[in-house]
Amino acid sequence: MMLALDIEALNFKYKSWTEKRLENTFTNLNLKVGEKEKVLILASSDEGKTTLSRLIANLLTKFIPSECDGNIKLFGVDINQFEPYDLVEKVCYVSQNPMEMFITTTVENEIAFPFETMGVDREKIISIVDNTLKTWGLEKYRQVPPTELSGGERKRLLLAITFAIDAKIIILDEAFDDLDTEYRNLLSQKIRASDNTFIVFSARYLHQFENTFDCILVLNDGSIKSDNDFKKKYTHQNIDTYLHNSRLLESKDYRETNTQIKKHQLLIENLEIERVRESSKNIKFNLSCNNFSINTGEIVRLIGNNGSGKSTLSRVICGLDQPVKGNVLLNGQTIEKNILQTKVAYLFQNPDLQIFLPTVYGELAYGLENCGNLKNSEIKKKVQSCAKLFKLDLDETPSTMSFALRKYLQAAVYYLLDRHFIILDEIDGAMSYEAAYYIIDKLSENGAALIIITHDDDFAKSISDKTYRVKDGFVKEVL
Amino acid sequence: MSSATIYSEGRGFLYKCDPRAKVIATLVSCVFVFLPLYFSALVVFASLLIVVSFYSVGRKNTNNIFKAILPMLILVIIFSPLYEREGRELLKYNNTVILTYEGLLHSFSLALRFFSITFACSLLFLSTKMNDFILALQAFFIPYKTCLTISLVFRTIPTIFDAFNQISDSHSLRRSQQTKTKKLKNLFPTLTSALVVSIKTIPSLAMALESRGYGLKVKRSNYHVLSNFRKFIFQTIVIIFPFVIMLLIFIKI
Repeated sequence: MMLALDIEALNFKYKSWTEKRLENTFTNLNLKVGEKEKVLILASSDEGKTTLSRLIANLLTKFIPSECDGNIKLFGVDINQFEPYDLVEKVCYVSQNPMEMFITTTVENEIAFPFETMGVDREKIISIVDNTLKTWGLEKYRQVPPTELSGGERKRLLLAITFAIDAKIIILDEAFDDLDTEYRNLLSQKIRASDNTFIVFSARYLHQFENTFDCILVLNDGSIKSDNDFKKKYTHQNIDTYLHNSRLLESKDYRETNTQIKKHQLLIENLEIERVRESSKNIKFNLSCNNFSINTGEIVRLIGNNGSGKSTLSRVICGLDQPVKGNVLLNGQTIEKNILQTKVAYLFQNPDLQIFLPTVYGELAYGLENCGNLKNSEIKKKVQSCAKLFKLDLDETPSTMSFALRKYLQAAVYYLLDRHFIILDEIDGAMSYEAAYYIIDKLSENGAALIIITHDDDFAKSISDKTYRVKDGFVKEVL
Repeated sequence: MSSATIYSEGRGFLYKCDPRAKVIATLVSCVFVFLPLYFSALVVFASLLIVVSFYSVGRKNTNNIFKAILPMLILVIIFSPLYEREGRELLKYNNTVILTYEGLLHSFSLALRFFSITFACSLLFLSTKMNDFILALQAFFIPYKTCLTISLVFRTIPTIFDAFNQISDSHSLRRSQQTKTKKLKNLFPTLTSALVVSIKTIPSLAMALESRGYGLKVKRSNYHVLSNFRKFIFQTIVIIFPFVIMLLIFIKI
């Protein structure tokens, strides 16, 4: 079998912005992937999944200061002989964060862009755009800018472009995250049916991976063992024993909640939310929520398809947006939007929009300093113990930390602020189950109620006390 | 969620105009306000733009443009008379002339010019999809690289604006109740965070462009095309006509 990808003795490290000497991300990494082979690479969040996928797509060394040696060959040709744009039909990369891959101002233009650069006939582009929009359920968003799409819709758009280009090697970096069950199933079906080579990176083993891949590899401590024996050895059945943190916990027993904490209840009554997309006013979004309640100590999961309004509802619950009608009640009392913001925390899907200071210490102390009733020594003490709990180095720069640590930091911020209610938007996204459980465990420790938004049904079922579904403009409890 | 976009969907007559004609009209507007015209011409032109805006992009968008430029207009009206203090005195303190009729007229002229240019450009971008705007520029022989840069700016501004809003939201969720002074004080970390997020997008954007084939030597094709040339010429003549009439009436000879 011809090799689609051949990595030999790869050593890679990022160059630090400061004088700090960084350790190698990869040391003597070897990986061989045959033509038309479908490979799943499992790795924890800080093992270098994104780095490796960008290296394979030749999208890293040109744009990010780094040191790299070793050989990466695509179909037997050294990757250094190509510019990234030469590889458009050979390698396609789906980023973990779709927003960083968008170039144009509308969904249809985004799909058309690579075909325009390749000089494809207009008639053919029109047909590709139409078919792609239809396949990925994006027809009504044709004229909508990617900024106005939900997280899952953005991921779908990026996948739509990738499958439309139909490159010989497709690299998916946490591509199943953010997608709802329907599109996760569609993606795994498409991988199975395709004749292309797939390299899929994931922090967790999802049930959609079953019978999708020819082999599963593990990226650990900067290297992959990829000889044939390894592939035979690590099959679906025993993968858990190797990557223990990808396991789902089967019961809620792991959770220890402090039962002494004062009880609070958040209740939503007759809430009406409306959202209009500026670019296409015909796509109006309405959401009604007649009876939603959560008590401190509970874990509630909020499920629904991509774009159904889970994040929109969350923004109203935490007081960031105003509903058209109805109220959010705390302990039976209607409360103002700005007070709600101090009672309900919201961990955004993208941690980078919530961490902004140069050090971890600064991030953790910021909220406490703003409370205005704590002495500096008290703040320091609290911050130090919280950092220890969330395995954070207080002097580290948040923006250069791994995705998992950034998520830990995001959670640690609200742990310190001791909010009664915490909304976790896609907390399991690009995280190992172990890491996601850890955050949930720590946040619920003080008795806070958690609202968990996730598309991973197995994960959600393993932790939640009750479920609300957002569907067709209504929020209803699933009984 | 407040999502920022520049184009705002609508059905007004400006939406039906050829983008090339709108680009020409915008350029003519910008030149027109700097011609030697009577003050009344600036007033008439600004009023005309408000009417056009009201009937094409709607009351909400018209208010938004006005709100966005209002602080600048106030600053111009307050401070620019201080630089033009010769002529008929209107306000005097001790022996110092503070305000003159000519100074006041000058500051209102400046404000009206600023108002008209901003309104004309806003109307163009509110009623024109980015791909149509880029095609219009290409029709005027602007190189594709320049057009793409402009398109990227318009793709990036809303993203940065969105990031600013989200970061600002995130800050408010981490604070206790806010006074107005505290809010103002906290603007600095919010702006810094938005800047950091924006800077981080630079290598990603370069990565995205090249991964989509930008740089290939192949002749580019176009997914969108403009309407026929005759329609463009007809609409340009219709749009230019009022300018010619105003010029004939209001020009200082």
